[in-house]
Amino acid sequence: MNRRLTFFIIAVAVQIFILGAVPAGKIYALCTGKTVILKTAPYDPYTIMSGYYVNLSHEISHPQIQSEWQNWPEGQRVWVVLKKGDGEIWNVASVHNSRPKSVPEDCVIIKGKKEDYRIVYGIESYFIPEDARNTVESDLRTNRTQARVKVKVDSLGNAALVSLMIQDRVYKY
Amino acid sequence: MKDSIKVSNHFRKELKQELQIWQSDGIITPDQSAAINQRYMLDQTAWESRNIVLSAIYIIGVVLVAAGIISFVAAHWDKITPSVKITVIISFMLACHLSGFYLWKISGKSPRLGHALIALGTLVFGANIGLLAQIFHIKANFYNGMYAWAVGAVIMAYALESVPNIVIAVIVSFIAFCGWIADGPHAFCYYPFVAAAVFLPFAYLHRSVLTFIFSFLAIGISILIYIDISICYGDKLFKFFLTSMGIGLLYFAYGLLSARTKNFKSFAAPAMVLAVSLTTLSSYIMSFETSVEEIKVKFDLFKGELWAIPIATIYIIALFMWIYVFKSMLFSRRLRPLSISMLASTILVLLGIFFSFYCKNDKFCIDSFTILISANLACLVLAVGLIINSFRAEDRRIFWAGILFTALIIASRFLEYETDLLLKAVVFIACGVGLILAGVSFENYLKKRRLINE
Repeated sequence: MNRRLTFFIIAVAVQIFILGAVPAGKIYALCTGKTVILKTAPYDPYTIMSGYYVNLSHEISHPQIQSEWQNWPEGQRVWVVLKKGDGEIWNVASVHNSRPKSVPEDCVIIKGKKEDYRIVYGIESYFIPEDARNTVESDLRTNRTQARVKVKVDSLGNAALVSLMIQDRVYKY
Repeated sequence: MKDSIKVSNHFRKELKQELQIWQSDGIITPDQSAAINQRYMLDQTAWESRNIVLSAIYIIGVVLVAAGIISFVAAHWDKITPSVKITVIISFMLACHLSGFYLWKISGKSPRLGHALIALGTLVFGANIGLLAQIFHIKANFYNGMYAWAVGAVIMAYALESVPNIVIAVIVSFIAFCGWIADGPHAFCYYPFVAAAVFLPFAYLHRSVLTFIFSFLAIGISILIYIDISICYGDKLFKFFLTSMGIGLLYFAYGLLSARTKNFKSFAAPAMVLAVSLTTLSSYIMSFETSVEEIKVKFDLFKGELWAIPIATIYIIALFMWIYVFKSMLFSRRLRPLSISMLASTILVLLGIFFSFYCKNDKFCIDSFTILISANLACLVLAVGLIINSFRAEDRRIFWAGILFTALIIASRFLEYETDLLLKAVVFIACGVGLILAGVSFENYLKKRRLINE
């Protein structure tokens, strides 16, 4: 009986560990990360919602500076240094294929991956609940260029979405 | 004297009724009746029937309660803060597991309800992975979450010797594999090996036929999907047939070997049924001219040579197993016709493919007619093997499988080719009459055999 109980406790512990591991990176980023605001837009202007998710294409996903990243192989790990611009928006300062040893105080490093000719950071999808779906969709459709996202970036370069902002409206779920 | 004998509930029920008649007819004394009653635990029938009904009620009840709770939470989901959401979903999972463990293993009062709750806990665990991904806006490939779910289910299955949990794991991991393979071509596929290493030991340790069937299905189909989607360029159909025939051969030899073991005899029948189904289905599809024409048009032997590795591996393992079967003469007299027809049909198809190659202008070409003839012959050999075997085994199911397969082959050929309507009518009537006559004569044969045996 004791042996069976031990096995059962281990099995439940493993299940809880797996449940903890799924959002661990995001929780760490949300708790310890630095807040940055990124300019964004719906990935597909015609199909804004994919199920309950809005798919976003951030401005930092297509850095205009240092275009050599476009020649890197698909799946290449990419490190992007972000610097706050004149307004609230953070822009790309430099793009690297290895983690930069040091960056200035006012910059943050965000970790991404080259995928389908863009850089993805794991913050490209935002869940919208059913009752807010139509509101957010129509807001994004009419104010496509006015969308921003609030993101937390931790010291390891992991990013987690906090909220979606369109003009002065904040959608946080 | 043995305390109890493991027999089916149905047998006990029938015997209990018979005992009363024997006793009233004076064939046996009340003491003898009581002894038989005790030996076969006939009084347990009512208790067991009640238990089965109770299990069904428990499972339905548990599912309804879970659906109610999920609907209630879903109705208020958007208004709940993330921390409360996480607490609710994990508490629900833990409540299922803990109450299930208590009822099943600690108090032992309702083991079936307890087991149902543990299985429900594992289902909730899977749902929780999705909900956590939703709460934290993680939109990764769905199959990663399903693999994680399968890991949790496997561990719970091994910890509590729970068949429902391992079945959940097989199904979930197979769906995850399908998602992974559909995501793009992959150089190597680990899934069949991992599935064999994880699920089959469970089937053996706990002698679970259900786990064995699900595992063999998942392993076989995943190999076929991998060959078909991931590593086949040029012609897929040709390699797909080769693989399915190879898997059929492998599973059948495995069934023959299992039939000779003491503990795993129950695995033999499902393995052989899967093997015969795969081989008949492959040869049947290959017997159509349209299938073979497709092979001819798209055939490219040297494109995507990776396909040869898994197929060759399957055939080499199957070859060794069949050599062992032959050397040890492991197939019983009862299964000999079917075993020989399985081997013969695969060899026929392989020879057909081999002799269909010819060289034209320094290019390999395929003569579709050779494959077509060999596939049709393979179908006939299989059908004849099934029918002969049904007489040996005195088994109605095998007989009807063989007869229906024969009728299907004949009907398919006549529908496939443009033939005179009158001829078609004659053939279909002959098929129908043949079916009825075969059925009647087989039933007569069974009756005669029963009389001889009695």
